[in-house]
Amino acid sequence: MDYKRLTDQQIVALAREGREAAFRELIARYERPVLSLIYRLVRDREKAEDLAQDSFIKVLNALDRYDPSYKFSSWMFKIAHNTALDHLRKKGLDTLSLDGSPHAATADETAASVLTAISEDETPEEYTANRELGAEIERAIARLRPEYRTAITLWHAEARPYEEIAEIMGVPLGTVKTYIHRARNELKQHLAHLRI
Amino acid sequence: MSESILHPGADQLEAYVEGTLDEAQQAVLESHLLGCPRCQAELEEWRGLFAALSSMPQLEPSAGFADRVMAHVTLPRSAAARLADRARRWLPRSTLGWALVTLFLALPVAAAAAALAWIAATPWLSLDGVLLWGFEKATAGAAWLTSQASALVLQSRPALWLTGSIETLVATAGLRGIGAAAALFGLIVVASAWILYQNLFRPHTRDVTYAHYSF
Repeated sequence: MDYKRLTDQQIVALAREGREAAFRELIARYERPVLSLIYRLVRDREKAEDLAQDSFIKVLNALDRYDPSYKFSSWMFKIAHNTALDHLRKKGLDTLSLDGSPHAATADETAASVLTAISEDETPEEYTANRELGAEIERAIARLRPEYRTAITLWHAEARPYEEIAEIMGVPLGTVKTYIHRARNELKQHLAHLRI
Repeated sequence: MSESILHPGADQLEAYVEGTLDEAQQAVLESHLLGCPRCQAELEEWRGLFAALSSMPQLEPSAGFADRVMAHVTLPRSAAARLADRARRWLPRSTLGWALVTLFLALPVAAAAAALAWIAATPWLSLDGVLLWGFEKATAGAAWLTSQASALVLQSRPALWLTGSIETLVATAGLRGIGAAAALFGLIVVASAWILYQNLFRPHTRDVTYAHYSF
């Protein structure tokens, strides 16, 4: 069976029948967006991966109780968002560590914890320029409030509509619009020196 | 360009790049942009920001991420597997158990085989005759059981109380009164059914509950 052609709802239905391949397809579809969203909230590569793992475990073990009349992606992102926020609340963390995990003990661990983006076909010059721009954007995003980070990541990086972001974050639509508008204005100021 | 010209606000330029302005607002803005380098420059800043944010990279999980997740996921059993599990619970677990079950199941088969052999060996008996005799006996038995059961029900205290109450009701309220009571009862049944439908079968509305779970 070609799982790639099926919708999320169809994959979920197969997973509920106990097909492991369907579970793995759901992970394949959402591992990158979920990890990216959590990373932009917690700013620690290793911790983000642990929290993404926890989010998937929660969602996949609760599939039999999932209501298919809602979008699977909304549910997945909602759990990921809440898991990351719980972590931030517990640890009182909201800091920037773009250059690697603050918990890394050795240089190798630090290198392993640094953001590793998916690089497409780029020349070395483009790679360097994009990496610098990407790092500046990540730094600017890190300076935003966590709720702004979620909203801006979901709108721009994941192309989610305002309504879905409101569902994911559990706030009214107008609040999401305000978050995104303010976040963009702050980012514009933070990135003004780049003349992007 | 004179400074007295009313320039569009940053919100409008942002909405223009986002694509959320309506056609009329868009047309007004575009005509202003044609002659205003200052707003063109600001528009380019917004475009640059949108392009930069939309090109934010996605992170690649480390190798074995899916395996680590799956190690903590309990796969639901398929319906066939669950049925097989349930059936397996009823099966004997020892040789002695199997022997007893085999003996138990073999008894009726052996009895039926012996009866058939006896019928075949007896010249004044035929299989048709035996089946007909059995059918008649079974029908008569069922009829006797039905009559006994209905007599028991009709002569029971609740049945006698119910018939007495109906007779009293007809004598006092008349047929119209009974009709009115029946209509009221019917109305209550319909209302109850509607309330049940609203609460049990209608899909949920807001308050996004994607799943009913607790962690």
